Amino acid sequence: MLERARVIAKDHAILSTELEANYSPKLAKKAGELSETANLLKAWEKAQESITALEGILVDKSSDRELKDLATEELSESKTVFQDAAMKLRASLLPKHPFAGLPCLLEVRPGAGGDEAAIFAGDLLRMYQAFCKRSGLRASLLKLDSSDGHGAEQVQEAILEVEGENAYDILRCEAGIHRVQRVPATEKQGRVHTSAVSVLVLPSFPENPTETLGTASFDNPESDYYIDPKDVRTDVMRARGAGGQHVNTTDSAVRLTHIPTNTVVAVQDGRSQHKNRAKAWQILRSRIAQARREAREEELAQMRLSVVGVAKMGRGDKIRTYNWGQARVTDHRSGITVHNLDDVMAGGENIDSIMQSVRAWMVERDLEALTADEQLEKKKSI
Amino acid sequence: MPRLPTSLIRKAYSYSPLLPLLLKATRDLALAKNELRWLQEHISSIHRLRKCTPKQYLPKPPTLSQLCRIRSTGEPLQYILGSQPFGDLEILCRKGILIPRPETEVYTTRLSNLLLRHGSIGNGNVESLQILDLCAGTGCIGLSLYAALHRQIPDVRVRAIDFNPQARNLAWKTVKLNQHLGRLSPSLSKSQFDYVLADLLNNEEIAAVVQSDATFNIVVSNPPYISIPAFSRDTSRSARIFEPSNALVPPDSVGITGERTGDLFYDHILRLSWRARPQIVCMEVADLEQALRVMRAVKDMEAIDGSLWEAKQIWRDEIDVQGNECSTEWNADVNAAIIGEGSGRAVVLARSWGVDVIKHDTAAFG
Repeated sequence: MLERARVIAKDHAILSTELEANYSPKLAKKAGELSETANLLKAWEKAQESITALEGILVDKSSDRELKDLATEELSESKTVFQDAAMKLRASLLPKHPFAGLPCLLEVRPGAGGDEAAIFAGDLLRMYQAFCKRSGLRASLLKLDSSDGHGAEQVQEAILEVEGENAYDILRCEAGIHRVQRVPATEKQGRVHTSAVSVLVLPSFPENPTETLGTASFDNPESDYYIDPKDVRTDVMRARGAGGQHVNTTDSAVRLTHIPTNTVVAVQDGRSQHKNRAKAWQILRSRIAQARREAREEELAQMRLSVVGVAKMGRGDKIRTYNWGQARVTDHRSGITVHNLDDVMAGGENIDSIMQSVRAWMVERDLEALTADEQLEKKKSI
Repeated sequence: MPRLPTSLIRKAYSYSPLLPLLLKATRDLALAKNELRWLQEHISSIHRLRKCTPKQYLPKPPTLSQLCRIRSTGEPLQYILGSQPFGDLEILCRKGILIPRPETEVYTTRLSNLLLRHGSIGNGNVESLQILDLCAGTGCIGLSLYAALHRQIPDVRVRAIDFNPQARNLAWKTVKLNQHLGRLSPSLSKSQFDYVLADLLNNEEIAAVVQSDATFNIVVSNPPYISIPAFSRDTSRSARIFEPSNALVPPDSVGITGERTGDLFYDHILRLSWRARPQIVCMEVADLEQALRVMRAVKDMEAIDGSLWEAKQIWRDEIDVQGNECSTEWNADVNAAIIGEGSGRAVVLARSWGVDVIKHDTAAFG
């Protein structure tokens, strides 16, 4: 780990001297990325130096008592600073998620549990909307397929587009199966049911590839979100009849089918066919890119599994339980339990603390994986 | 028309008490829900506008239930809301002028994408392009072609022809609206979009607005094409009652009966095209039968006047708008490729560089 950090710091030093000689925005950006690690490494080294110096004073017999007392005090302080710096350094060494800065699409769909699952899907949707509102993220509903029944809105499918700084990074810990345990509105005999809702979080790609995305251009066949237009079938869905001048429909539904993966996206919410088509493309790109990324990560995870028992959290596992009877929410990944269910469902501060704990857990897990990779490489080199 | 099932009406009512009214017009629950939302958005935009205007100047805004009731009579939503999105543009709609159709949008988008893909246009080597839009109505085809092409081609000119003065006024309002929305360039003026009044069936009037030596690169047209039997058989109630029948059915002509009553305008368009020497002609038709009848008329003309068209295609409704490959069959009888699936919708003829534009994906038929 330390070696890696030192290499990065060295690179940074080289880059900065180069930058002084001749400025280029590309280099400056790279230097900016590295500078965080370099600075953290400096802080870490400084803390380490002060610890060795203080320990030197303590060991030295010639120093007087007062000085030693002071040194002991400072030593404990320096040690916390050292640990803090080490933690930050480790986190900064993790490669930043390539899509972390992008807006995201959050998709909510009911799983096992019939109507109750659909009602809970609606509850979750409102929770995320409230959360976004409170955290200053713009959330707009791209698609909502719902019906009313049992006195509550039942959501069959909802897609929320969340924009804002690092929206994907903030929400990606929410992907997975959310389990609910309560007496549902559909239940007449007061029994507790367990139902599930799946939440999918995908990075959302802007309509036009920009410089900030770098390699991720739509026209680059190498990139994850390249889709060959020839692979996509576009249907303008309409009740069939004579069409044309015979019928003045307002239906502007558009359906895209990605033939190789059989991924289907249908959008009909807007009045403009043009905009529905653009929206459908946006959703399709996100889904395909995510599928490709997952396939790649799966491969990597398999490699890691052979080294340490790190399980990749896929769609299949439940990640969180909302229990109405005990008014608690437990996240099964970080193990955190919160006892203010109402606040969580209202998107309050308690959901923040859950999400923070999960993010910390994810950093921890990624670090483990990173060390595993390094060990693997070492083994190979031997 | 089959009766709507009671269960469907009840389902709609439980969603909103106003929904059964819209269901009456749309006959489709998902579409009715969408229309309810669009009407709500329309009303809230009126209220937003009212906030910045002194109240005494404004009429009382309509309520949602009033609008739903109007819609339930079959009045097209586009007339109630006053517009219909078409391509990137917002086209104004008023009673008496045909509402732009999604099928028209599909082939117009495909045509503009094919043109943009064409090498010399994509590279910006084409300096100017003349478009003739016959039976223009709202002007949606000509204007959306202009909007798509003028960024690549510095000098795009659209000559729109229609005999309805109200349509011309409305088209100019549409231009102003889209300039305000930033969808059309603010420099678009009468020299680029020339909307003239003339009856396509009246040779003298046409001669007065299209000089005999005038040439155009592209001729587009969505003329009235519904035959008299089809008008009572195939049209929706809303189109039949609320839209102008003179934009749907050609006028009576001596000696023509049955399905052929829908074909009246194509002869005039073809003859005008013969004179104007366009590289591409694109005409909307009712179905594959009419498309084949038009193709046969082209063949007859060629037998007399010599061959003009180097490539002929019939585009169906379900066709790729990007201009990509679609399922294609060859009709040897009229020497035309039939592209896509669904009902036949447009007859496309090309010569010179127009062949490269439309043959992007059908090189196999050489």
